[in-house]
Amino acid sequence: MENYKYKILIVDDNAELVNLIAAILKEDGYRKVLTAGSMKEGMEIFRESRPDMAVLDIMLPDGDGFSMFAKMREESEIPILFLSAKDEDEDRLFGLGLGADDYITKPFLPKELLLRVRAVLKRTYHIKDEKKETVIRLGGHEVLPERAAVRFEGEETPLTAKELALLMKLSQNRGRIVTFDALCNAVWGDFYYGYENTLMVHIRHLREKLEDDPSHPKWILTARGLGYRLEKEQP
Amino acid sequence: MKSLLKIIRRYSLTVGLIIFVILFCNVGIFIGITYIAERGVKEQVYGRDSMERAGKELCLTDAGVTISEKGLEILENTDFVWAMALDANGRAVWEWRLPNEIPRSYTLQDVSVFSRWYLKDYPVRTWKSGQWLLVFGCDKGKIARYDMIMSAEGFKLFPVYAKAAVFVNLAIIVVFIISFGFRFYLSLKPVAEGIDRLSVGEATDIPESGAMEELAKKLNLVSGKLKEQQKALAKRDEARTEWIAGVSHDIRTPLSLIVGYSDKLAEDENLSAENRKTAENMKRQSLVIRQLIADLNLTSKLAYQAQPLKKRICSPAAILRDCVAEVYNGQLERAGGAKNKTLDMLPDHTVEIAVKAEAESVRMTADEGLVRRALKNLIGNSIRHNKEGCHVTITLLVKETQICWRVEDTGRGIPETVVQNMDRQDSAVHIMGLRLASQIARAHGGELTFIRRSSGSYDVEFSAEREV
Repeated sequence: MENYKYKILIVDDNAELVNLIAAILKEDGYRKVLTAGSMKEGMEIFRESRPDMAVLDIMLPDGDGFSMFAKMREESEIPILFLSAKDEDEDRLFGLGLGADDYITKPFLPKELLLRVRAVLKRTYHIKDEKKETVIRLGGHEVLPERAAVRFEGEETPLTAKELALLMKLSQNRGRIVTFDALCNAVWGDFYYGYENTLMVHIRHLREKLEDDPSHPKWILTARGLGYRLEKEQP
Repeated sequence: MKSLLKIIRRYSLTVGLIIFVILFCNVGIFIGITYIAERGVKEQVYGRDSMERAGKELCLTDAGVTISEKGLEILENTDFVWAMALDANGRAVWEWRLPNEIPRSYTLQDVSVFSRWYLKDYPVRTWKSGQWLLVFGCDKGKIARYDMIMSAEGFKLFPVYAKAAVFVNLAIIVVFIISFGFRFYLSLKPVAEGIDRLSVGEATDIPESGAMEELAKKLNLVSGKLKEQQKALAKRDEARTEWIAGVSHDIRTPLSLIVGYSDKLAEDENLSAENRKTAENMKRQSLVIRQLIADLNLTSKLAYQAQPLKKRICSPAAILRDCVAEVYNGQLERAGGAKNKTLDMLPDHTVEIAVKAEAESVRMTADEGLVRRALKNLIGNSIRHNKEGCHVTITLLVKETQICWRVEDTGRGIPETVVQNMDRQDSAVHIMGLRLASQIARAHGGELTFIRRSSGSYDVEFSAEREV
C-alpha cells in the first residue's frame, strides 16, 4: 500500500498509549512513526521531520491539542486526527470549527484507528487514485460514476442523476443497510414521507440496469421496512 | 395571584354574610320584642272592650251612681287598678278603689291633660259612657303610655324612610368593605407575588413596609435561605457530574490500552486458539465498559440537567428505521456480510417494525441522538437478554401530543424485579440502559411505560412529547 510511506506523528502524554498506537501502525505496515509526549516535544519533531500526518491527544501536559493544532496549521496543511477522551469532544471539535480532519474517541479499536488513518491519508494525498477507484463493480456490471453510466460487456447504459446519487450513497455504505430516510436525504435532501413510490421506482430502474434478473436482485437487496443494501463483492 | 383574589373574594363574601345575618337577626329581634310587648298588653286586660262593658253596668240610683255586681266582676277581671266616673262638671260621681291622692274634681283643662298623659303618675284610659266620662287607672309599674303625633306626609313616607335608612347603612358598609378589602389586597399583593415566585423557585425581594412588614421580612429571609440551598445543591450536583465526567475521562486512556493489548493478543498467531479467544473476550468486555462509561456520564448529566437537548425537527419513523438498520448492520458485520443474501437468513434475532402510513408523515422536535440511544438500549436489551434468539417488534404509535415506540419481543421480557426497581438508585439490578432510556423519555416530556404480559414479565414503551 502506498499509504505506508507516509510519516505519522503521534502526540499523547501517556507513553504507553503512544507506544501502543505506534505498534499498531507499524504492525499494519507504516514504516515511519514518530512519537512525542508533550506539545513542546511534538512541535520540535514536527518542525524537524515534517510528518505527513499527526494524531493528537486533546489533553497534553503543557497545553491542549487544539492550540497545538492551531500552531501546526500555521506552518503546514497536513491532516490531523484528534484523540479525545471525552464524549462531548465531538461537539467541541465541530463547534470550534477547527477543521480537524477526523477525531476518534477513546477507547478505540485498533482496527478503527487504522481505518481512520487510512481514510484521512487517502483523502489528502490520493485524490486522483480515489477517482479511479470509485468504479463500482457489481459482478459483470461496472458503474462509472464520472460518466454516470453502467458498463456491461463493453456496452454503456446511462444512469440518471438521481439513480447515480442513490447508487453512490449505497456504495459508500456497501454491505450495510441504508435506510429509506438516509437515501431520500442524500438524493432529495428531504424526509422519506412522500417519496415512497418515487424511491421504489428509481430502485427498480437501477435494478433493471444492474441486475441480471431484476426481479431476483443479487446486488441491490431490500431490507424489508428499513431500506436497501448494496451487496459486497464476493471474494 | 389567583389565590389572593380568592382570599379577597372570600373575605368580602364573609363580610356580606355577616351583614346579612346581623340584619336578619335585628329584624328578628325587633319582631320578637314587639310581639312580646304586644302580648303583655293583650294579656293584661286594658282593652276598650272591658271599658265599654264596665261602662254599661253603671247606673244612676237613689244612692248615686253605682255599678252592678256584674260590672264589679268585669272590673276585677281587668288589670285596671282603679276607676272613676266623672260627670259633666268634672266631679267624681262614682269610684272604685280610687286612691286618696287622686283628686275627686277636675276642670276641663285637667281632663284634657290626663286623658293624653298621666294622672298622678298613673297611666290612664278614658271612656265615654252615657253622660259620664269613665277614667281607668293602670298599674304604674306595668304600663307606659306615649302619645305620638306626626305629619300625615311623614307617616305615609315612613316605609320609604326606613328603606332609605337601610340602604344608606348598607351602602356605607359596602364602601367600607370594598375600601378595606382593596387596601388589604394591595398590602397582601406583594407578599402573594413573592410566594408565587418562591413556589417556582425564584428569589423574592418584597418591600418590607406596611401592615405586612413582618410577613415580608420573613418571606425574604426564606427566599434567601432557599437561594443559598439551591446554590449549594447545584454546586454539589455540578461537582458530582464533573467528578463522573473526570473519572470516565481518566478511565478511557487505560481502557484504550486494554483494548489495544487484548486486540493484539487476539490476533497473535503464536497463542493457542483458546488464549486468543480469551483475549477476544477481554476486548469485548472492555468495549462493554466503554459503553457503560458513556451511559454513566450521560445518566449523570441528564439527572442534573447538565445535558442540554439538541432539539431538531425529525421523523420518528426515520429514527426507528435507523436504529433497527444499525442492529442489522452490526449483525451483518459480525457475520461477514457476504454470506447472507437476505435479511431473513440472519440467525437468531429478527427485528420487525410496524409503522402505519399516518405515523410516517409525523414530525417531532427532539434530540435525535438521545432518542436513538434510548431506542437502541431497549432493542439491545431484547437481544442481549434472549441469547437463544427472539423476534422483536417495534410499533410506532402516534398519540395526540405524544409519540410512542412500543418494543415487544417473543423472548422472556423484562422481569418484575427490574420494573419494581426502576426508580431505586441503590438496587442491585443492572438496569442502567433502561434507566437511561427513562431519563431520556422524561427529558422529552414522556416516560418509559412497562406493559404487563400474561406471563408476568413486561414489554416496554418509550414515549416523548412531539414538541418539547
